[in-house]
Amino acid sequence: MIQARARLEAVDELSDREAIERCRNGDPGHVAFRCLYDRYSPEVFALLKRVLRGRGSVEDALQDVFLRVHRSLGGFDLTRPLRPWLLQIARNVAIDALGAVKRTPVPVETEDDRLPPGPSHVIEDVAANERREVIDEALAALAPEPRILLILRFRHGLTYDEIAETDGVTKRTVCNRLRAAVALLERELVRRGAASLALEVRP
Amino acid sequence: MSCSEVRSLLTLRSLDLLEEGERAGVESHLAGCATCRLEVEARDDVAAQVRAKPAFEKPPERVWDALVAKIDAGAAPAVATARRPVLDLACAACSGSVESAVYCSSCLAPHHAECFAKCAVRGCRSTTIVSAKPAPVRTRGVPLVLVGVAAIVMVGFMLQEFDARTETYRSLVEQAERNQQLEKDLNKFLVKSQPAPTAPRDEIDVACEDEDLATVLDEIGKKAGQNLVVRDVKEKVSLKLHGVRWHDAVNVLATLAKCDIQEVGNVIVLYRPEKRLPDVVIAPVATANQVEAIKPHEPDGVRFPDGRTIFVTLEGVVVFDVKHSPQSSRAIISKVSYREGDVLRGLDGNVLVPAVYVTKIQQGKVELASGALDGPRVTIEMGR
Repeated sequence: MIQARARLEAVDELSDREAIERCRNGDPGHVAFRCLYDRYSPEVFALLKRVLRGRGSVEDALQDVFLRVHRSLGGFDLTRPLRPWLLQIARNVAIDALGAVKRTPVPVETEDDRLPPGPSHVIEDVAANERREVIDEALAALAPEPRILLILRFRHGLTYDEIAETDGVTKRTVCNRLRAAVALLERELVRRGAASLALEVRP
Repeated sequence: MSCSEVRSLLTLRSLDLLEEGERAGVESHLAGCATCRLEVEARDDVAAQVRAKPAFEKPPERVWDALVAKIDAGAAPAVATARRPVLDLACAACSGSVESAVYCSSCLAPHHAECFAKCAVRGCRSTTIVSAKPAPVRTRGVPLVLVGVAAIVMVGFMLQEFDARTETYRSLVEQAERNQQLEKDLNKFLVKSQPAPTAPRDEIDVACEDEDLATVLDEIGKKAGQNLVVRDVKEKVSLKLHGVRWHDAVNVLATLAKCDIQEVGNVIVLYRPEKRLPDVVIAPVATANQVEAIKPHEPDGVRFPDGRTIFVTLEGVVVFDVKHSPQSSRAIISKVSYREGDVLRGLDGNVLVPAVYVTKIQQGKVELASGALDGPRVTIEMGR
């Protein structure tokens, strides 16, 4: 028992690189892969929930992401960080999933799918909550690509370099796409009658 | 920078997406514009929500179980391999796995022999192939063996190079397709978003020439976001108004078409009122003081001896024709308490020119004088 715990702790302490190397060398019992899964699945899960918003199974998509990761680890360049690569795989899976279900009706969003509350100082503020919901809905109404781009950049904190590298584009292109996505978000806010939230001076 | 330019950049500012040149312009404008500074707070709200960190939660354990089952059930294990990724060749035309390839002479992309009419790679479109022989397929751990004549050795070198680039090539193609799709999505969305509903305008322009009243009202209704309808009035109207409030335009139209206006809920109805008997009747010519009735074909018109004409209209409104036009001036005499000696005032409050005086009011009759108290007179018998 003590030995097992010690082994588990040792695995938990594996760096991404060590875990990947173990995966490549056979990884009996998928221990090293489990280490990677435990480390990144909560974030990927959150991303998929946010993007899919009830369209398609988030759990199936999560499986698909890590299946792709597992299959691709053999060719992964160990000099690169794992997280942005993994999040980009999640993005591709999400877009595929959205493409597969885009003709099916969109179910009503469940409470679980909603965003977590914003900063605590605005939680009590009903008006702020309403504004937040409107902004959130506008974000959700964007096409998948700009939406995921905004989420990856601003909610998951991927840097321009990381996005640019995994997308195979320049930082300038990433910046331009982000600006275009923000413009789309503003249009959506205006379309939803939230102009006063975003585009007009509030008293 | 103008206020509108700055405001269009404020969300980008809050999200730290401004270019250096833009940032300087925006900051200097904000330093001197209190109104735009107020707007910053709203944009910060948007940015804060966009940046709201997601709550991470551990996925259910069943996901891991299903994942491991799939991996164990034959999904390719992530085994250690050579650093250089080696992929099966895929046909550039159909993306199917290529056992026996022909290669484009220009870009060396592999194709199934039956798929090669022209090179399927975007931007290439070559029509010739390097080799129709089965190409050695590189498999994991097996080095690329090049045998044969010098020409084939050369091709082999090219293939080796190509092999090394295969993944890059495929990923680039996929990336290009993804990018294209992104642009398409963005454009689609832009196109979709453009026809934002136009906000109803308070001030509108109206220009029509001999148009049906209903058509004109319909146009005004669309511009102003109002429900305007006409009931049983077939009238052609011509007018040109610029920058008027929609209800003023409707009032003008109602006046021109001699309509009344009624509001039913949020619908405004223009209708022609039923004709009523006039409250003012013209005194018989014989009883009028030095008045001669003229134009028997205009029974409602009475002319002063000096040539001015009084037109009697509905509801006691008397139109004094100053310029020989019924629209020139109007005065109400049946609903206003005039006293003898008063001068009639038009509906606009102005004294009619030349002035018309009330010289006598007696037993429902009003005697008016034109130009001066002792001027030519006419007597009108007021209706009941």
